[in-house]
Amino acid sequence: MLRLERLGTRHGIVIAFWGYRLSRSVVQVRGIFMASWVGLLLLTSCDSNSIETQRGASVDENIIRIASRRLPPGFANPAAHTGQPAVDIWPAFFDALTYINADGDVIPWLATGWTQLTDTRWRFELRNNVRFSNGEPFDADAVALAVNEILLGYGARDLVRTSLLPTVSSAEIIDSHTIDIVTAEPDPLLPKRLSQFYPLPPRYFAEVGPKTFARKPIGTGPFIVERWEAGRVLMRANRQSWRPPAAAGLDFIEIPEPIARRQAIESGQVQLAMYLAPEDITDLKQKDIEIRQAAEPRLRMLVFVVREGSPLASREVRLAMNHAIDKDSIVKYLLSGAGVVATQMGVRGSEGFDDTRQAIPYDPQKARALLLKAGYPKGIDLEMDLLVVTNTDRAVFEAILADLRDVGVRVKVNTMEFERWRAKLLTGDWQHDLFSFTVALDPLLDITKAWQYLTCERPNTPFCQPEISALIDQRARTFDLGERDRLLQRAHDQMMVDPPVVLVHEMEQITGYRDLENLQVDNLMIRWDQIRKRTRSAYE
Amino acid sequence: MNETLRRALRIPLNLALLLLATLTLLFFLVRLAGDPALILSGESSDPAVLADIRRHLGLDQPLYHQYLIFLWQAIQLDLGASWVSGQDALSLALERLAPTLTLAAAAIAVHLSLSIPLGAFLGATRSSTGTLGRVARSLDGAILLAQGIPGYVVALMLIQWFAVEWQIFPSTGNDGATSLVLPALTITAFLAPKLIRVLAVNVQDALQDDYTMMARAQGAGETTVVFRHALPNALLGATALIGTQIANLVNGIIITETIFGWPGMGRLLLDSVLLLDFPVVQAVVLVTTILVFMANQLADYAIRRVDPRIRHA
Repeated sequence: MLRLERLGTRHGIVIAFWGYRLSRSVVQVRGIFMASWVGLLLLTSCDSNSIETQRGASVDENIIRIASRRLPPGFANPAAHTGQPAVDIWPAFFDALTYINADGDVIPWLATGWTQLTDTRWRFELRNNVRFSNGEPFDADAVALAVNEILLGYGARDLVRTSLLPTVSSAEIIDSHTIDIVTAEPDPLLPKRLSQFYPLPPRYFAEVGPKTFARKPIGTGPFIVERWEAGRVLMRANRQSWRPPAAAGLDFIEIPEPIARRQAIESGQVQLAMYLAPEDITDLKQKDIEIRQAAEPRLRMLVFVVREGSPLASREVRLAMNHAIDKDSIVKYLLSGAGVVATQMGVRGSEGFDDTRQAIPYDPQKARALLLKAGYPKGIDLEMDLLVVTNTDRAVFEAILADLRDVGVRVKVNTMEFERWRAKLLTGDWQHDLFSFTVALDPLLDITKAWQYLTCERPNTPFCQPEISALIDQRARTFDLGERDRLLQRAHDQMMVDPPVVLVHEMEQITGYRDLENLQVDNLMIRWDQIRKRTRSAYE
Repeated sequence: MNETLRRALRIPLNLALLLLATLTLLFFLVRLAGDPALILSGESSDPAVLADIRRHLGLDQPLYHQYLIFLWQAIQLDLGASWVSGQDALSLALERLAPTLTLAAAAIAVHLSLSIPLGAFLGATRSSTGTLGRVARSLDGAILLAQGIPGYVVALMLIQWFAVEWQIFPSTGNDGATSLVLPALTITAFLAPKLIRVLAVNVQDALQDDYTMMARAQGAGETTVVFRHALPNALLGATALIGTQIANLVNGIIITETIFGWPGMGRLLLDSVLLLDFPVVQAVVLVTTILVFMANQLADYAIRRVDPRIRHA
């Protein structure tokens, strides 16, 4: 095997010399020629850090290279992100107070238990004998600091505060390992929300401040961030962690393109590739790449924008559109089985998910009959705002549009870029009859995230259904789990007969890996402490 | 004041005007892209939260006021902190400069090393009747075809062959010299066909000129005629194209960096645009504008050096 990575500065000088000799024959452009070769030589010499790192990584057999879709743009600023891409990497070095497992249950993590004292006060018992990777003890001070800084201090306008924990008003230390968290209003989901809230090491944070902390984070997790470069994060094992890792290190490389991630795992340059495309599953399996499909808390749907006089004001039309789409075929053929047909406004593992509920069946005859009954014998013409991000999205929507056309629903499509689509979603400024929506229920598997865009309280809601809205609002204020479930099921029952959306499918996260064992994926999060290399990669 | 000094003094003035125009245009264009408060607030569309974020970022001020503050800070090279990460925007851009320049230098080196000899070869042989002529015409057709293949496709083909099938070069990240090969070849693939074809035509024309006939009459071999007499003159016409290609390299680099996971400015720009992180977008564009300006100045300088008619005009 040709090992060109062994090229060093000496070889670079020889190459540059011959490059220059070659350029001399081309007399008139030797200036540009020479400048480019010499520039290349100088820059690659300056770049020796990453070459050395790579060598180090390949020598150590138990360092795992990971092709990541995206590194968090806010680095490791614990105030800046919730959900992806932070959950892909942060749990390797940060620990939260709670953890959401694969079944969607919230379980103890840095907090060993919690009690709700009043509607707005929760008491958390903290794990003993845990230290940050710099040796500082983890205690109530670390949690209080995180509340005061991430939620009420420098991060008061950042995503974790505005989107995840807007209700927390203070933290009160009871003793070194007990703390009360107080909310401004009742929040039954607080323990779940804290699964994305990371305590800070008080001494180190006071020393470096939030900007440096984001580039050189310190946590209690199984790895220590050695270097956070542009497009790459290198970590080594934190053997003192309360959950010590099996691997010696992790090397995350940002590869945005799914095809390039696939090629990286195929060629053995990485041992784990995250977020592969469904169309790659069969081919990769044939090449001895192992595939792990795990529920990804994302739900694809079409949302009706119902206005007075619109055909969509008719319940029959909306039901007809639900009957018209062959969701089983979409999941089986277009997603290669990496998904399941959606049956309700939630995903497997989310609170209140009813396993027994069936999807509205594919029945084009019934769809045509319903359109006829609604007074549209010649069908209807609609216009849809469509967001397409991946090739899979495109294929799925083409199938949906074809199915709708078959029963007489002709949809004109306006594709739009993400930011415009997102702005419309948040403001409710929809001009057309339908819009595509893939709702992400991570990080909390919170079923209300799907509903919140449809409640009547929301300004410019696409479709106000007062009865369903009342049930969802009532559920949000209810602490009793049984009652919460009952309210949700009533809303879902209502939705089956008077649908505000066309539910299509739940998604699955596809992870490819080779030469690794003990890969466990919980609610998008890979258990980085458990994973380890099986053998030395053939490519290395 | 002599001409050289006058020209030298004009360079910073031109750069200042260019930066003013670019930054002004950019300032207003990015603000048409959307409301950053909506991105920063996540799924919260609470009007109070949105208003607070806008106030904090200064987006509640009149546009002309925001613009004047921006210009004043830009003059002091203070482009602010990233709204997403809180890091200094200019530092983030400069951090990515070295990988981008490395890739650009590698691409230019590979591009010129391949294109100039190949252009000379095609120009010298495409009209001959022997085997070489047939080879040249086939190559000509292949290059014409290659000009139509998008860079994205070329990149994926190179990865499939060199990284997946043969496992010669890595296809991801910035791991030193070998990581440069495939991205540099990708950029070369969409720069080279044009230069090769221009050079081939120029060399072919030059070989018909009197001075090359004179060289032959003096007993010079065909290789000497092509490389010492025809090619230097053919390059006169191509130098402007090379300069333009170097200046336009940034387009190819954005795509290439994304596919190869190369941590350069192109990717930073793309990410920042998607997140409406105005300070970082402005910082990257500022650095890119200066680079393109410098590339154009170098190209002008090169043209003056190689063409005595322009030098003495």
